[in-house]
Amino acid sequence: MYPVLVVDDEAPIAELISITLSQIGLPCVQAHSGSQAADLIESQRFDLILLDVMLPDVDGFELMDYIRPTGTPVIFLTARTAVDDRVRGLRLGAYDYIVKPFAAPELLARVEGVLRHAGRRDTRLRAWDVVVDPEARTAAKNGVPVPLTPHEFDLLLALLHNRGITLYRSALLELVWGMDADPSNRTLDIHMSRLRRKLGWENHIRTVPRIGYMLEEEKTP
Amino acid sequence: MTFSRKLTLGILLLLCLTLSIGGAWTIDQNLQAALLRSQTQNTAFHQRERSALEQALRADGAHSTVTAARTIRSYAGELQSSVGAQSFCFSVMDEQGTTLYSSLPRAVRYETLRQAIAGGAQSVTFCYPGTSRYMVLASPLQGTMDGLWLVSVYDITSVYAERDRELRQYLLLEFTALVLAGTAAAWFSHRMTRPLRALQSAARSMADGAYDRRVPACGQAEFDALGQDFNAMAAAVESRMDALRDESARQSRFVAAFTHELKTPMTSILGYADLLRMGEQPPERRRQAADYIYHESKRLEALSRQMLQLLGLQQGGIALAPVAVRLVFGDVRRSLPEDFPANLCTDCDPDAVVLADRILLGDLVRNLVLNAANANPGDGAVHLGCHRQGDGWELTVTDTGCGMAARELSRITEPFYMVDKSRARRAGGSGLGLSLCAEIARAHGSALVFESEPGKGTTVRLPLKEGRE
Repeated sequence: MYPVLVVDDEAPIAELISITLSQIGLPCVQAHSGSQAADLIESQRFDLILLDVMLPDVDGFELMDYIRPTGTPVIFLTARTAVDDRVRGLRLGAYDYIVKPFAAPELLARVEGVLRHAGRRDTRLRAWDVVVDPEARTAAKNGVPVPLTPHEFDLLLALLHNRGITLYRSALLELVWGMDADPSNRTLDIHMSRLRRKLGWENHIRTVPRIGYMLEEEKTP
Repeated sequence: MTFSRKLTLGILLLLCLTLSIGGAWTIDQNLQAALLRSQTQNTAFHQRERSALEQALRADGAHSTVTAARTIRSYAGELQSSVGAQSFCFSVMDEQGTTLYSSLPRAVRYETLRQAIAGGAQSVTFCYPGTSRYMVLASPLQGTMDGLWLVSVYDITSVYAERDRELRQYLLLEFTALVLAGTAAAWFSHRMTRPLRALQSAARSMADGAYDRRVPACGQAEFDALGQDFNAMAAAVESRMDALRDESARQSRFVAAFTHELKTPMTSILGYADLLRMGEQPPERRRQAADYIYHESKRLEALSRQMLQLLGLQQGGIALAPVAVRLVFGDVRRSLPEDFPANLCTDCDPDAVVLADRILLGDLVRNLVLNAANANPGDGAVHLGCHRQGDGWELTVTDTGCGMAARELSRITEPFYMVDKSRARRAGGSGLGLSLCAEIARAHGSALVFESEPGKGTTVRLPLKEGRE
């Protein structure tokens, strides 16, 4: 288990990626220039590298020469939408690319996908006795599969991706049912209580009155 | 049909016509002369025969047709035995057309003889039965009996045979001459049109995109002039193409850079806003996210403001008025941020008045001063100067900072070009500052002149027009 290297000369973006990845338990190391990244790559091992293409000194494409011998999977981050740039990145051996601006779920999905394909990490999410596989969309409690509807599974994933954070009702509704649907707060409550019952998490999913829901963090013994 | 082929055919046609007409005329002249010669000769023969026949008739005293006929027959018999049958053929006729005697070839028709008699003694009649040619002479026999005519027929086929031979010979000659001349003309016209073909192939390869193709000089005045004009055109097209290519490369660099400059702050703003709107983040993270959103929005706002200013400057002109440079320098000094890292040293001619827009010129100088300060000057100072330069004034902004390489100097006024991106970013640069400066200078009818050496510093000069009348 090695950390993820985030290379972007824009500190806010590097920080944003680190925050997002830390929510699924991926520790991150940030580099704000090509040369700093090259030094880190030489001295340390990483499970994954998120690489901005436009860097002030050594650009992302050139950095690939340092990275390739280590066999570390790479996802390019690019603000350019030109097909040439994307194709060039993939040709150079990148696993995937993410176009800026990106949404957190997209980033998480791509990172999970690459980590699993590269066999670097077990990308299943764990909470107490429940194991969730985001790719297969299955959940198991103590090794026994728990049947979940798609909406229930999306709710579970949103809670797992934001542990310890109270999620607003509106955000949950939008995440799970989409922008265009018009479900009531009642629908959310019903789904949440069914999820609680199926997983036996009556005490772990907390209702915060008038605000939303929160999945508690595990107390490390 | 190609020009060279037309030229060859034209030359050949002209030659063929000249040779044919000339040849026909010459051969005809020869024929006429030969006919005249043979006529003279045959007339002499005819006279002699006539005299001989008249003498024979007189000697026999023939007064009737029958006796005359007998006399003539015997005369002809003598003649035949002495000189041979072929040499002399004649006929004797009376006025009514009754033939007294005839040793004429059968081919010569009776009408021809009558015609010759009707023509009289002076005339010559020709007849052409089959392939033979005959000359017919007629004259009246005088003496014993009136009304008798001697008609002689002479074979002149050989004269015409001679003409035919000449004709054949001449045709052979003409054919040979035409072949030779044709070869020469083809070679000549091919050679003459070679520059045209060179031009054609050059034009074709230019059409296929080889804009660097040129035509070699060929040594013929007209074609050389044409080739030079063509080369001049090709050079113009090529330089235009290069300019367009440069322009297009600049455009696509601009679009790529602009996209990047736009999307980078947007990524942060969207990402942190999403984070805040998802749920109750811990207070420290909430503060940090709001901070990022605020600063990145400021960056976007500055970018859009500068872009609009740039577009405005590129589209419309500005009103220029006399402005005292020391006032502009004062504006700049007041507008510098409180944490301005360098000393601003001004050295301004107090009389300096230039034709300018006070606010825009102030923006320009301020941008240059901020850039100079960001270059980490060794003595911690930015030198601002204004001195007389010819009829006008020259503003200078000098620093002793890190300087730039020549390769970078040519591109620093390009939008979003940053020599050191990370440092420019920390200093709040959007990459549009120098583009704006260059545009403002252009609006003042001037241009920025950069002089820089890595490690030694940079001087920017701006020549301006005298503002006093």
